[in-house]
Amino acid sequence: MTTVLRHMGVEVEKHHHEVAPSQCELGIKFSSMTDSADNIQLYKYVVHNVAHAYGKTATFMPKPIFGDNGSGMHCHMSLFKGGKPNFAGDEYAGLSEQCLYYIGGIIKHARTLNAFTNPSTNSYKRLVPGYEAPVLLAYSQRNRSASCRIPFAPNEKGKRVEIRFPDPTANSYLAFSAMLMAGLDGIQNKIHPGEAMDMNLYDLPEEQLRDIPTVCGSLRESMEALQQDYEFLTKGDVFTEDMLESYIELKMEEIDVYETTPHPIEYYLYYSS
Amino acid sequence: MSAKPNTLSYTSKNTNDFLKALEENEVQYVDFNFTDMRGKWQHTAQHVDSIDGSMIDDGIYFDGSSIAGWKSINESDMILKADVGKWCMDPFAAQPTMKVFCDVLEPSTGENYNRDPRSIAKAAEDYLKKLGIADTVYCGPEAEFFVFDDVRIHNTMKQVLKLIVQKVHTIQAAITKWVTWVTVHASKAVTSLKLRLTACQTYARR
Repeated sequence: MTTVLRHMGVEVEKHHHEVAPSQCELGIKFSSMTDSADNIQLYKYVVHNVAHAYGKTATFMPKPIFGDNGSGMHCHMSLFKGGKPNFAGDEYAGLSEQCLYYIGGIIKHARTLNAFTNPSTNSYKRLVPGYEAPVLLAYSQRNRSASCRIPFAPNEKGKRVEIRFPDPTANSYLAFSAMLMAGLDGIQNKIHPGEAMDMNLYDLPEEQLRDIPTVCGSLRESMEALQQDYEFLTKGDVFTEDMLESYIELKMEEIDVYETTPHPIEYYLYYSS
Repeated sequence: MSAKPNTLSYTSKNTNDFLKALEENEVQYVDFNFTDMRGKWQHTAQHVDSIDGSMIDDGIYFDGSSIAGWKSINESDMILKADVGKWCMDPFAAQPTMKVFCDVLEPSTGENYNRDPRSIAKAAEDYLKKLGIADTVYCGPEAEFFVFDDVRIHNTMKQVLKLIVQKVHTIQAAITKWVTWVTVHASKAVTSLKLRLTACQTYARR
């Protein structure tokens, strides 16, 4: 897969096994936003086709198997101006104030972002506590249980934020754009994300947990969030209301068919009751 | 894996460069690719003989009503405008095929279509520059996936099936599998021996 991707002009850095059996990840080099979204389309195309060439089948479903880790699409993001990194500074973890505001915007609008970063009914079967998927909207250096992680960077140019809730069912053009718009809203309105959370968030006592906001619990919730909080997306006519309405309509079709289909587990729970 | 790209950059500066790249790579088909709102890659292929500079500059027409969430049937014409800055050779195609990324344009205005995800991403990058906060946003996505030996799915009114086949790969799992096999077959052998004995006893009693 990595060989074919290189052949198609996508710079590949690594490939490795993930936590679950049969789970993989290929590391492709970061790039400017639209180009990176283009590369994800190539990535999916190559993964599906190479798997088929070996008589196997690949899936980007966030949670194909109950009880095992799901598949995410963590997104590292950073801003540069004139070749200089905007996110390096003297604040927490060597970040700039601007980067903290960017994180603040992401956390503030996260539930709307879910509509684009986690756009399938299956997405919310991954976003549950206990499987390394980030549910709590907090940020931290190194801590993988936070939805925004600041990875260790050897130099200033490597300073970035890793947003951990997106999954690969996302349309990367829309997901990246929405995250950028949320981050920019944070910068413009100086939305501070509060204190960092450096403990393992899953070990927190329940009273403290209750105060930390969470990602959406279902695709329906994310659509409701999008209907209520969308002005940051339509700034500069990047997203339009017409587009958002049509998107919601499209997703509601998926939600309806999913919610009205009797599930085998319901037979297990209720058939003889 | 038949394609042999001569160009390493997979990007052309302008239409002439792009047409040259078609010749250099002995391209037979140009696949115009775009992405729908669900994130699915859509495409339409065009034989290289039908392609000239104006087709690349002006774009090609396609039926937007067949794309989920886009145009209705009464206003279905849309334009696919090739982005000559982003293309590659398709190693899976039987004939030498070049994939080129496209933006979707509104034919009435020539502007980018407001429901085209790639156009939205470009608009977001332009907006960032316009604000003056930064000139570049970098993204490094890490998409995870599962590879299975086989998957069967079936959804009808009276039958719902999901079957995932994962072959055993680790040595320990292979041993477990072998032990299970031996146990099962041994117990089968014992059962069949017992049955035979019973049969013999029954026969002997007669």
